[in-house]
Amino acid sequence: MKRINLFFIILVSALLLLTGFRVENEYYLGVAVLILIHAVNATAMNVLLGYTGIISMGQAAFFGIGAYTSAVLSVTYGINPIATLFAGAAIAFVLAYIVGFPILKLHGHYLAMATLGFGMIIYIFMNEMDFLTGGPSGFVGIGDIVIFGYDLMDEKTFFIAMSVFFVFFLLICELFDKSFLHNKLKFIKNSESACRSYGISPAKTKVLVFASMAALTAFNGGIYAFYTHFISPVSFSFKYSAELLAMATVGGLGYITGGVVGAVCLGLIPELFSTMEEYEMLVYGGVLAVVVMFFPGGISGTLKKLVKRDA
Amino acid sequence: MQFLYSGLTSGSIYGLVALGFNIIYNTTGIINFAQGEFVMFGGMLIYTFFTIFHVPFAIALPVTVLGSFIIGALFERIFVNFCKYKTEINLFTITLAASIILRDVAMHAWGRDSVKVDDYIPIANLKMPGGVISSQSVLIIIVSLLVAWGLNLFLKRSKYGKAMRACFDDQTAAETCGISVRNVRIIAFGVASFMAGVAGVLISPITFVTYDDGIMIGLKGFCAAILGGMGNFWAAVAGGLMLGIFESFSASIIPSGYKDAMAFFVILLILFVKPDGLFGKKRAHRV
Amino acid sequence: MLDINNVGVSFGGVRALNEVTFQMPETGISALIGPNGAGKTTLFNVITGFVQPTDGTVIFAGKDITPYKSEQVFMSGISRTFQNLNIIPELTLRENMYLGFIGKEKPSALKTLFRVSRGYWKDAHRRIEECLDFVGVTEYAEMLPGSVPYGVLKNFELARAVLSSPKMLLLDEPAAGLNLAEKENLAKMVKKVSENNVCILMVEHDMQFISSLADYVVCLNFGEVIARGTYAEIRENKDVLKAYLGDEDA
Repeated sequence: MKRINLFFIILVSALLLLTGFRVENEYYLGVAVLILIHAVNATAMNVLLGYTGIISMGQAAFFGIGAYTSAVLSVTYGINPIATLFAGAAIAFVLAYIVGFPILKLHGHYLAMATLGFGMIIYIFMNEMDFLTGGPSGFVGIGDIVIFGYDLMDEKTFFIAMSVFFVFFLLICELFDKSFLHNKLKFIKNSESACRSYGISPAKTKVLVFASMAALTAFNGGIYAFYTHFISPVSFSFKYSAELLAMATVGGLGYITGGVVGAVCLGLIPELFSTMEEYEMLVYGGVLAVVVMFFPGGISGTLKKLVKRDA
Repeated sequence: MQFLYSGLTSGSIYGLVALGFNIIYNTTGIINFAQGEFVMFGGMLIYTFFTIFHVPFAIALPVTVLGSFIIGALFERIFVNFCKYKTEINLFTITLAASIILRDVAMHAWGRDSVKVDDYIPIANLKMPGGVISSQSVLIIIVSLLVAWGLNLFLKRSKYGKAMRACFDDQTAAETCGISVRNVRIIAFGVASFMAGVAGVLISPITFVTYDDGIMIGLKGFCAAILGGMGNFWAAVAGGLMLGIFESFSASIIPSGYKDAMAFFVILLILFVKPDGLFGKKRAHRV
Repeated sequence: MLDINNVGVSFGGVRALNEVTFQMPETGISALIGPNGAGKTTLFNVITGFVQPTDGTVIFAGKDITPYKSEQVFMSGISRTFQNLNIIPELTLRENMYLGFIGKEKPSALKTLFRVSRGYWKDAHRRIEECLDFVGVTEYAEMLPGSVPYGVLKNFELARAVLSSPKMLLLDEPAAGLNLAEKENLAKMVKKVSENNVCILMVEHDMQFISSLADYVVCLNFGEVIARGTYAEIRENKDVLKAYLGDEDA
């Protein structure tokens, strides 16, 4: 069994601590929270695409399902916010499980288009079911999360809570990356026939992975809803799925650090180029294109190669 | 009957886009995600020449479709050609990245608002059995079918048509037989973009053009291509028409906001039930 | 051990296998020979559940495994190797070994993730090392398959198939692409495996390799069994000679 890469976790924790202590500016803390949320989603995307070979362009839909479930349940029905997070995850899991069975028989382009179609359907429903979701103008007045009596109402407390969740999440990811589970997924990605003749059922595993990642993304979506207090379908459109794909690809597909690195790099682009906000998507597309064309391992893969060459 | 007429109009546009998907897929095995962006560029170009600069239509049209062809060819040269590891996922991602770039370029060039292209022919409503059909719709249907027919001839008669099929079957073998795979790929992308450009020119007087129109029209074109079956020429056209008619009929039953969702239900349904399309032949699977 | 009864397979109009019947002995090594296109690989695929036969049955250890999917066939105790190796290029050889382990043991996700029950994992790793050691690829264990000689990969595949301690082992052209020394080495290992009460069936073209190993040989041609028996019997069989050399001396 491989050793866990503690270095990366400690590095991230230190960065988070540093941010928590040094940064007082609410705006920057907000950016940091959003980057953490993106990082979780991008990692889920990475597990799907980089490990299992499932290209899912419907991740934004699951994110939205989680956000709307939390919003509707907590505001309209007055259910405890924490419980709504799990409810959103459960709904996404079941939905992904049902959709996954037929959809995951497809591969490559076809799978991408099918998941994209699914995402579009959910997006259209979010827009049209205004009696439930508030329609295109969005859902307002979402409350705060209360954990152990602490009301996460300002940026600072939310950032701290999110950081704790994130480090815990990273630890699980590392365990996953160094366990047999990750090998199993890579076997499925590379050769389904080999898996089948060694007693692994690719169909079952793929559906489970797809559903689990949908649940994770939806859980995260709930957090997002309680953070922003306002959600609208625009945040969950196809564009967000494409952004997640970009983050995972730029960070490095098939490397557990990929999602985090990609989310940080691409999440900072709008801040660094704040004077040229207009060109944000152009930079996104350009970076994605360059990485796909010249650095198939993304940032993580390229760095790893460089380190290995020196050693 | 009225639904049939409006369905045929949008359907023939879908058919043109579907043909573009078909040509690229059957030559390179890529599903070009930026196909819809080509349509949008076609509309934007004709807007620039015809409405802004008042170039006579007889000149503006050829310039636009030629421009579309060049955009497609450049697209292949820049994005697809430089892709180092041509795995399926990489190729998908690269066309996705390219579509983001094209969309953003269009946003900066033409702004975020919808633009309206002047009508090419005087608007008149023709009385037909069971409803009316506008002169624009007639133009769209006739021109699309003509273009599709022309393309069919091009693929059947010219040497490039055969070369394209050869490239899909086995690139190395095609190369050995003296076919320039490079040129064939450029032409495939160019022709696909050309078809999309024609579609863009045709619809823009009716629906207006916005920089982010591409996603929707591209997806619906893909849906039409899947519906008919990839790799089958007339099936793509038929798929487009069927999708258009189906969509406009469903609009009469369900709230109009859900209309766009229908196309995606069709995609999912077809992919689940019969991934090779209604008219597609079943491909053999190798173990 | 393995009874093939009247198995027939049709692809469209093509009859790939027709009334194939033979019994494999409880132990020992059997070989399946025949010219290209005789249906050897199809028969392998039928046994391992990748192809459903149009008619006939496959009985393994008294159980009818004809309708089984490949996963179930493996679970009932049949392992196989592949002609095209199926070794994942982005994982090291040791990691590639895990395939044999995961499929057989199916450790639960939580057990895998949080590494509970240390003894279980220690045991697993010990067995993996043993198998690697048995075929002599330990020194390559940390390398990626791309940087390892072909012969080593072939041996590695044998190790991976043995890891799940199958009752029966199907080898698809084990000696193809190996040089003489490597072949001899492989033959020794295959023999050792069979001495551990593992029944082996292989598809092979190399007659010398077969002669040194196989106790029982089945010859296929045009999807039908044309001869079966010991190697010596098969070598003298007229039909077999005709199938390989053509009809000219008849």
